[in-house]
Amino acid sequence: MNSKGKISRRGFLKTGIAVGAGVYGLSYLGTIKKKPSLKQLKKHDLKQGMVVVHGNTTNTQEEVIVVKELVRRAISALGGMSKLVSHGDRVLIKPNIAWNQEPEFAANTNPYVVAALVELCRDSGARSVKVMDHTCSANPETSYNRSGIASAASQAGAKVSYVSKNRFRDFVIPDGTVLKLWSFYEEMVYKDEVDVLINVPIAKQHGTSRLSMGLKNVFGMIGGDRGSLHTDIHPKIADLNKFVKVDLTVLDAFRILKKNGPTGGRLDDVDNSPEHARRIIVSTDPVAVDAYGATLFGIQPKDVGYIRKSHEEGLGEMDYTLKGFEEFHI
Amino acid sequence: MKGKQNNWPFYARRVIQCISFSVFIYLLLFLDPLTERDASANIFLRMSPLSAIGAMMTVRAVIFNYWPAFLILLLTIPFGRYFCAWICPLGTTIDITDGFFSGLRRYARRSVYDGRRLKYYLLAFLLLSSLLGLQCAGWFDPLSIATSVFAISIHPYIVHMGNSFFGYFENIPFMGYFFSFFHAFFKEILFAHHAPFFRAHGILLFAFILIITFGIVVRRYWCRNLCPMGALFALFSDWSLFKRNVSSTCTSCGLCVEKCGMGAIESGGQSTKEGECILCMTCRKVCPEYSVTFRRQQPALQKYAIDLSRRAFVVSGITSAAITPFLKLNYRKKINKGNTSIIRPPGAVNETEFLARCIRCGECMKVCKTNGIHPVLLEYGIEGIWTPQLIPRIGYCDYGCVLCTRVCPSGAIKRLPLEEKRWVALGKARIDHNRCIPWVGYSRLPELEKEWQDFNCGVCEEVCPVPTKAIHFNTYVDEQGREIRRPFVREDVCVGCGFCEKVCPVLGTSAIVVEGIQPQTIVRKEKTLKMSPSGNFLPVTLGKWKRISDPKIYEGSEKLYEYINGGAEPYLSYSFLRVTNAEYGDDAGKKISIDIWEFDTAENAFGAFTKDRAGAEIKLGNRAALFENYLSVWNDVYCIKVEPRQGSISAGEVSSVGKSIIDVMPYKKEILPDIIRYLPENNLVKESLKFFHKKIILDNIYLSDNFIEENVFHLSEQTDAIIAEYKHGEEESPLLLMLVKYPDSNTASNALEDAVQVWRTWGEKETITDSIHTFQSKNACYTSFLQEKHFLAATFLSKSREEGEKLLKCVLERLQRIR
Repeated sequence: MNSKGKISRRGFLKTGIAVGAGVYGLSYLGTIKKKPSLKQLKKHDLKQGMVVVHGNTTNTQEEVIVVKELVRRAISALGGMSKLVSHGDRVLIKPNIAWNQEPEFAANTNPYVVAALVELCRDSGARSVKVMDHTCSANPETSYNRSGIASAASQAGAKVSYVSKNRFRDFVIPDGTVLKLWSFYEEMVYKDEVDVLINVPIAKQHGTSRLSMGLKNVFGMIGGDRGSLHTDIHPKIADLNKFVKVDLTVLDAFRILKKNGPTGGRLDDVDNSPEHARRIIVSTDPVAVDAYGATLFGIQPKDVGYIRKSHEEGLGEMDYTLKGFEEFHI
Repeated sequence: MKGKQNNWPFYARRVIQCISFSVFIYLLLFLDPLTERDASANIFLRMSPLSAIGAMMTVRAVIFNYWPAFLILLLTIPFGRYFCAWICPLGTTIDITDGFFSGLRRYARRSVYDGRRLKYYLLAFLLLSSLLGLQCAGWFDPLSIATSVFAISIHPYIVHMGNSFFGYFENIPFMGYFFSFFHAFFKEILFAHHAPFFRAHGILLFAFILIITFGIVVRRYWCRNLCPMGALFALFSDWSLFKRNVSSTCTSCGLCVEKCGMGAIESGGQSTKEGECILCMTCRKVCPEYSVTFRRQQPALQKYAIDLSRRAFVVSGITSAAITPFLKLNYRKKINKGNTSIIRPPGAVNETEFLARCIRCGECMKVCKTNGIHPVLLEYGIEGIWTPQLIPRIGYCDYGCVLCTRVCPSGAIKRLPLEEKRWVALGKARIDHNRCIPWVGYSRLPELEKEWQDFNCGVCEEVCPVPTKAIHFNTYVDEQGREIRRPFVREDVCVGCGFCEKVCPVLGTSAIVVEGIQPQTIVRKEKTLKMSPSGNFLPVTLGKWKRISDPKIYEGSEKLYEYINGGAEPYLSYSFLRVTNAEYGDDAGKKISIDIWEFDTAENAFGAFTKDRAGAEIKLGNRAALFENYLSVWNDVYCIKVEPRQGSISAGEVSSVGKSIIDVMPYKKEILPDIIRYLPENNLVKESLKFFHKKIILDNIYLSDNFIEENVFHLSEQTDAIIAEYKHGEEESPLLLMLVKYPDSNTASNALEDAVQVWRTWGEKETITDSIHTFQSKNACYTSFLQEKHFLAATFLSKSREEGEKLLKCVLERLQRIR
């Protein structure tokens, strides 16, 4: 620089090169960052089988107590949350918050199920509990709020956050049959982001895949053009499930959506009867959970393409009684 | 004047201006959470008398929502043009940018027009064209401009800029966490979790830059010469209590002339231009002699008139009269026969009124949660520029959202409660069969050899938020049993929200496109949707078959007796609704008869189908059976029967007729009666399954040599019953299993008691093991009963005791497990 506020051509060149090198160098620093390793299934001492807990209430005020108790009893029957979540773990709970709909329409996971799980994780000494979903609504805020999950989970002590667009990365699905590569949400698949991943779906009828439960709920962990997955959906669901490491699946069947799913919106389509709903299903085996869930709709598990496919590919057992089955009422 | 002067009016103005601007920005940034809480976040827009008068004159109605505008206008009478300096957000913005340009201004030669008259002519033009039915006040309203510029251009720019800036630094090790933290904070204060983006943001920004760059030459150029709202205030400021007065101490130093932002001071500080003073109090503050005061009387000498030429007014009048019809010429409308298929936000009033009311402020675009509302450019002719339209491919209309209906200041979008909004149809979705994946796949079906499943899609059906779904599937099943589900739109319930268009996986233009309808309609408020009468499914031609007679509909029990006198009872036991019958004939003189039976639920239709199912099962609808050339199909709530009447008719002909009927029907979801899942699957003869409620069906089934007179099983409408055959091998005679579900366990135990009692009266040998009652008849047929809670299970015609009991135990296990 020669005089005040002026810059010579040479000075311009020098500064330009310096700034350019700095900016490039800094971004280069980002690329040499060690590639984070992927989350594996957490070693745990939970029982292998499945626990189904029934409980009914018609009183909406009591719902919060009953539902939370159902979850607590189910988890303790499986061995207790402390068998899975150890002190200092980072837990991510992935409910179904796909739609902008109130809880009574059974389009989203019951908020109290999520809240109860958050409490259990915190009681087991989890360092942080995150609740998030990649919603189908374009604006997650509406779904988070209307589903009641945002308030219920944050009251219980969880960090409720929205997915951030720039945190989706493409990953190779090692043994994918139809999908070889898909974009997943970093926070749900990296080892240094999450220790325990809990999938909390709700049981719903679904147009394309017949039913939407645990395995289908994985659609909320992925990015990319999700619409394009709907052609030949069954093997694709199985492929996606090979990649995500869900440690525990808690199926909310307190209300189930029998028709016009997965969006719902008619109370007539929601089944609240003790014969088909009003229960919580927990297991570490996502296929078994979905197989049980299918029976609630009067459908044989083997008739649902992705359940059969997932079973055939070794993701879990379609016969949910195989590894042990416990059922009780509260 | 001696001593120090207190400059509080100047500082008060600054403070109020700052507060006002901050409130304006705050209301804009947090528009959606505030609107959700139903706060009047659109208060600034409602303060604009120009838009208020323009809109009201054009629609010729009073808009009560605009009361703040009149308050502002009323306050102008005592306070003059205070609004421009104290409140107007565009004025404040210009003040700020003028500050940036102060250095440049020093070098600028004053050569732009600065004659003050333009704004009056513009106002005259706007008001006159409003009277003539063209409302374009919104384009020139400073509040509309400020709102749309900040909401549509500046806010998205800042958000995107921030995102890319932080996005870059977040990737750098060590520093990254620090930046992530600030990024989160930045998102929080800018309310930008969902990065907005608007069409034509650049055009708006260009207009804005044009307005502010005049500041390089003259300060507040817009306010001086162009702002029609300023002109309106100026007209009302004649009676102001605060007019600039200069006392005799004035030395004509010219400092105030230089500092006045409006250039309103003339003759070395002595006189003030009429209607130009905006009471910013700067001259009062800068005057070294403290000779400036504001009071009601103003000496005549200190008035400096703006010379408005009458001729120019006449010209602007003529221009508006001439230009109004010109602007209303709409080529788009012409080629589209009046329907431009623009999707207006929900609650938009009819199109003429909408254009008259809409002040082009962009508030609805800003508040839209899905970022779906964008400005119209030329799709609606010139008069429609900058009005809102929904572009579903970018953002759909959320089924549970009414925010845009709440923010509109002028009632172009009327306020709708959520319950009402859900029934408003903005448009109708249409499927392009040449793009839609299953439709294209379907048309190629004969040549498809593998990967046909890649042609099944259905994202549109999935996301359709209408509770009963406005999109349904027709299922086509070909000879190889491959199913392709083709979506179709039920226009009567489609609300045109565009969610389907947004998610359609077809690249580029969606295969399902929403066309706007104007005026918006209310869709039928029906609790349950049924295709009725079923005559719809019997068209004039079905392939080669032509309908001979009009379909006859027999509705209710009376009419059914008329139709099939003897056999009506069994159908009535399945809550029969109606049956439609028509005969079809072909050119060769063959005749067939088609019955479409409709029941209240799919389960009952299934029951009726199982009642007279005969022959082999074929792939059609939910279930279908073909016995020689008699076809019966169950599909949802319908049970279809195709019978040959005349001529030799092949099975293929009959089944192709069945297929064509199914193709027209919506819903092909197989809803089996719930009770079926308790049946053990081993050795079950699937075709033998019969579902029923009442005894009349059971009467036709051989259970025992003795006829059962009484309703021993207590069957009624409330009971669901199923009976099925079990066979070990092909030749073996079957064993029958009956399972009944009662409304409560009391009825179940009564039924067990009564049944056992009847078998006892026949003198059969009874044994009881594990609460299973087994009876042995004279010809060595075993009958067993078992009750579990509200279920009763029974096996009949068993050849050995163990066989029946084993089956019952299987049932018991399932009952206990599934329950």
